[in-house]
Amino acid sequence: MAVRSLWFESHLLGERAGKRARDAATKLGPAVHERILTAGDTLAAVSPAIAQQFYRQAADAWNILGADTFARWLGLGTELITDHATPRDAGFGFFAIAPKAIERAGFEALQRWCEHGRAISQRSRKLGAAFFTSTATWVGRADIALLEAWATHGLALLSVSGWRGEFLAHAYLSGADQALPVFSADDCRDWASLGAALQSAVKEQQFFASLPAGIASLKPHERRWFFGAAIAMAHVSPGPAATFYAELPPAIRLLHTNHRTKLLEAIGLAAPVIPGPLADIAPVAGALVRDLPTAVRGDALDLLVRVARQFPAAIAALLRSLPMAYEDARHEAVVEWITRGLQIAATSEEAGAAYFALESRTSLKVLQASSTAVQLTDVQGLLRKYIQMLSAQPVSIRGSDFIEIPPPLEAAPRELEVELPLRIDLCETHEENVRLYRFLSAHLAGRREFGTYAITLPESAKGNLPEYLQAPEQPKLLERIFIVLEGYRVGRALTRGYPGFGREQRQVCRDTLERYRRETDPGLDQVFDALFVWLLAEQPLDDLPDWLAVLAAIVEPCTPALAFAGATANDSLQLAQTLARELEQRINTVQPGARGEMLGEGLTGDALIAAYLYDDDDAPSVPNDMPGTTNPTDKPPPDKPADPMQLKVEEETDDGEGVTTAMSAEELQKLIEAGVELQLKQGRATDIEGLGMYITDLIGKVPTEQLQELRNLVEEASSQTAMPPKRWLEQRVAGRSYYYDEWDFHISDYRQRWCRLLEASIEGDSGEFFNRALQDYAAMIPEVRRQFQKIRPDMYRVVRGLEDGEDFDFNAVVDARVDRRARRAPSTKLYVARHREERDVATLFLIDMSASTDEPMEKLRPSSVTHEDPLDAIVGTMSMPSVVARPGRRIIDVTKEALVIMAEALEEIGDAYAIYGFSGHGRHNVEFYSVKHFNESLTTAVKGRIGAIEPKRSTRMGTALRHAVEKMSNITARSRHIILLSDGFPQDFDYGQDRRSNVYGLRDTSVALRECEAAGITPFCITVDKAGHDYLRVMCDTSRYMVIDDIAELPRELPKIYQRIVVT
Amino acid sequence: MKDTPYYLPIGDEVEVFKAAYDCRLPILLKGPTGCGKTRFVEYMAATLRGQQAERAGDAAGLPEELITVACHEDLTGSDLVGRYLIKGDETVWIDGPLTQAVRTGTICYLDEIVEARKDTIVLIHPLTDHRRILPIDKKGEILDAHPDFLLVISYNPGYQSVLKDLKHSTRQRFVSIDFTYPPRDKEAQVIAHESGIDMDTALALAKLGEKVRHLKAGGLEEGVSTRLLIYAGQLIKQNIAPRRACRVAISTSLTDDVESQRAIDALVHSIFE
Repeated sequence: MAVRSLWFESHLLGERAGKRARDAATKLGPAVHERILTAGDTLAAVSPAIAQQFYRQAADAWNILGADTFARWLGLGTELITDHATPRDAGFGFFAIAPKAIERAGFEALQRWCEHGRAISQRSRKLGAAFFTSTATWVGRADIALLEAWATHGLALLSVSGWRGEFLAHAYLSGADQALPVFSADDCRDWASLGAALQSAVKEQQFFASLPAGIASLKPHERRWFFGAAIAMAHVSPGPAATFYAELPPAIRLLHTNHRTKLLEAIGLAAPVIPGPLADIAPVAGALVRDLPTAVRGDALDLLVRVARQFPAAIAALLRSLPMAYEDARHEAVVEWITRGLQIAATSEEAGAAYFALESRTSLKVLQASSTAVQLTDVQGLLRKYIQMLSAQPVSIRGSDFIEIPPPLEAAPRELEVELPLRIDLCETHEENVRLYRFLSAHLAGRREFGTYAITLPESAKGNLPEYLQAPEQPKLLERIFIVLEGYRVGRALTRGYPGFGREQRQVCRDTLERYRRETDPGLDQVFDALFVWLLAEQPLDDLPDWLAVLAAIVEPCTPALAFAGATANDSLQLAQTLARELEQRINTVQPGARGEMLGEGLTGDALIAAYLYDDDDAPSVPNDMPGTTNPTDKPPPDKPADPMQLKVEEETDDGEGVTTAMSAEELQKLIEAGVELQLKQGRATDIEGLGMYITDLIGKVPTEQLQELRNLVEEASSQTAMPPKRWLEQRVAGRSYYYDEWDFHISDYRQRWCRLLEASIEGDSGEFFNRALQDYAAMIPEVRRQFQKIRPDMYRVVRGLEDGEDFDFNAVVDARVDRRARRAPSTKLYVARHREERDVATLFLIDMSASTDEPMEKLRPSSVTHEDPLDAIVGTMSMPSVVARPGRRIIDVTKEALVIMAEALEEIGDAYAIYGFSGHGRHNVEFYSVKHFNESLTTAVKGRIGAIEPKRSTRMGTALRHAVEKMSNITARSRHIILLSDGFPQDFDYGQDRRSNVYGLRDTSVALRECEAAGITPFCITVDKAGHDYLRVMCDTSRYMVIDDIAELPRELPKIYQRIVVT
Repeated sequence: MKDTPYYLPIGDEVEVFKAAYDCRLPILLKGPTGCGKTRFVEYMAATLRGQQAERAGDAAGLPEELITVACHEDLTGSDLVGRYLIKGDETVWIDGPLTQAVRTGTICYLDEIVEARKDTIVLIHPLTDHRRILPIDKKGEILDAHPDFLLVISYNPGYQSVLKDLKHSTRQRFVSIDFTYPPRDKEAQVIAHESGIDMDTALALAKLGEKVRHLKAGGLEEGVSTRLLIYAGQLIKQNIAPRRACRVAISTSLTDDVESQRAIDALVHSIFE
């Protein structure tokens, strides 16, 4: 009885469950109750807590299971707790199982559960405890087979990885609550194996404590692929596998199951091969798949699987480039592209990888061959000339990542560099895309021809036109409105001057307007862009979309003032200012949801016209009842557009249409301030591709580090000072930048647009270096000059034996006379003439400005020339007048001195020459320094720049050579040469994947040298690196290079080399 | 007597030429290809000869009004002055075109003088100062110029290079008249007159010409000449579609560079509907 007081009377009856159990047991009658109590006493002998747990369930068990099963149940429980191997928790867990659950599962199941628990307990009491506690609640809820599997896999973990196995198994068995609702028996096995495999990267407790979000939405067969991939990756490299495991399921959660399966299959095939890249791509995998055109998404993923089967290493790259491929080409063409890629991959893996990453030239060529998109590179020569003809100014063209209609204003129109999109793929056909290019070009030219940049800004205005328009004191919409109105004015002027273009312009604008019509939720930029094309499309106001009609009705009455021939940019500005102020007032006072009405209400075109004063008396009056003109006061904006500019909320779904507006932070802020109800959602460029820009669009297009920078920027963009992303991109390409392909010998192909070269200028000294060098080499220069005078060609050469000429060749005449006398047929070649000979050469000196040229040259001098005794040194130098021992001279100094002497000599002979230096750091920053270009004479500024050549960073020779060839392409000399002066082999930190190997750089440089020759330019390499023979032999023909052993000899040698190699 | 050719004066060049002729000052015409230099000289020669004929009352005895020599790289002194030729057993002296002009009192026009060799150019020096003589060294003869003789030369500064510049000793012997392409309206008049097309089309062609000439610094060696524009006009007059006419008469004639041709075609398409 003492025992009973301990477990029954003390605490149990104090709680509600206990009381309820007692009431229920009492109802069963005293006999049964006593039997229960006696059983409790027996249990209490082992553990009063277990006895209490038993008592709580006992009455229910009797009622539900019946007396017989009750006895078996009690027996099983008693057996469990009296077994020394099983832990206490086992009994507690056992009696915690609700009798209803037992009934559901069947007593058999309970028995099996116990057996498994006991089997585990025999191996480890701790694990047994974990099993019983974590799975007790699942008896009756989960299939017993699953529980058995769960137990078996847990037990299996025990034998994995030594002593840590127990920790693993424990963490696993404790995770039943997460796993059992989601997993099948197979999944349990995979999950356990993955946990074990990831052990070195993720702590087992952490791993088994939770599941990645979204894993539940995967179908069983998808989970099999997923786990298979993760395990395969984990065996190769656990770190990326852990990322992959955590990131992929949420990323692909929303995909259609068919697509998901294919994606997972492809990933599964590639997993053991490229764990790292797959982990990188995991977070965006879903977004990338959604980026594929809906109609062909399944087929595209089939292609992915096909590639995965044959060339799994390319999967990550291909997943990135597939959306781009589909932007460029139709499905059939992409199939072709893939097929070709697989052929290439079969011959070289690296070439295949570059191909599928769209990095190799072949890859882009194959893809573009069938595309209707137009690349700027294909038309820029044409457009440059077109713009030049229209605007009377020679312009160069810079590529831009965006298609902007109307094009943005140029900050520095005098620099004569215009910006056009890198590619246009808005239209169905190639011709239409070219037409769009022409349209943009004509407007850029038109702004010049019709005086947009000749605008007179107020005296108080600071900076150029865009700066003036963007100034904080100006209405925020001013720039947009000005661009639209001025664009309209220019467009009309073009139509007047070029009727053929006028027709084309109308068509382009109508087509573009059609694309805008489909838009339902346009951004602010799009509204204004649509307004611009509508104005030039010359279409009625009636059937415009609501969001455009409001603004169009306001602006239209102002347009006749800009359409007549005398209108100037200042008229556009004045009108834009009036409009912008009015519109901004509306926006600032706008209430949420009422923006469209506010825009239309009260603000009329008349009001604007009234505010607009003509300076020109001849200006046409603007009739209110002009055909096609709708006066907004007469006709209020349509009822329906409750708030045409409101951004709507849309659930993120798989195949839904997104808003395709990329807004700048500034715009967002403005809208937020204006109280517009705003929610962010994911947009996709499906309808009007290219009109906006998404960061995901840039994946694979800009390097990861820049992408990250851009991401951060967008995150920070809420602050006033942050630059909008567009500005950032502009800033990236500030200064003249050029893109060059680079040869990758691994893939035996060019990597397209791989290197970016920036042209930089050198701040010169005032010519001290030049003059000092002249003094130092005073003894040598006259001799060099004499030498060069000798190679100046004789002006005339007498040619004899001509049938016609200036004079008789008397010898020939005498011979002919003799012949006649001798009755032989005389020669008719009796005349002489003098022929002029010209020297027509151009030479470009390309100077290596790498950091290594900073080395003092003393180190490099051969020991025979170094003099211990200072007197010897003087004697030595005197015997070699070219070499002056100026202490502390570096390689670069000697190179510069050589240039000074060369320049002096070349001035003597009159040959055209240019000097450029190059250096850089990485493929995105190849620097090209202009010291002297061909048309420049040897001015003080040039002399200063020669003196200011200084060592910089790396030596990416190939790119520099390609740019040098570009520089020479306009030179028409009969004989053209590039002389490359360097002090070592090509080198850059990313010149090839293996930093230690210079093979990549050498191969690229040798290909660049061959390109030189193909362009009709003779390259010649001079190096002061004594080891130069080793690699120069590989790079070029032996007659095309020279190694100078004693660097101090360079100034003396260079003119000699020049005389030898530069022949006409 | 031939008809006086059509020439539309752009500035005061007619008066200047007449005045220079009255003083027998040699004249240098500067200007690009096809802007009307040759036509101008022909016009002036015909006009002046007409006046002389009026004064003399009879044109029959007067010599040829103009002798034109197109200079080229291989043009030698003997080509201008004359040379001995072997005819059968004899050597015969044949006067060159310059000598002929000097003897007969004709205007001698050396077209594109810079093309000629420098030693050749020096020959004209004694003719172009107060001496007005032509030494014929091969004959040992010094020929005094006929009072009506006048030397006119032309050159195109467009493609001058250091090697093809006119020496100062030469250029400072001439009165120079600058020629450029006529302004759009005048050029249109010329095109309309020469080709017979309507003024609107002529104006469009003149605009095309003006725009294409902008390309000179960017790929074209020469701007399109008025001559080519007239050709285009003549083709249009023959019912060839304007775009096609411009293609055959202008873009393909002007350059072999396919890209430039396409650019010009784009412009043609912009201008002509």
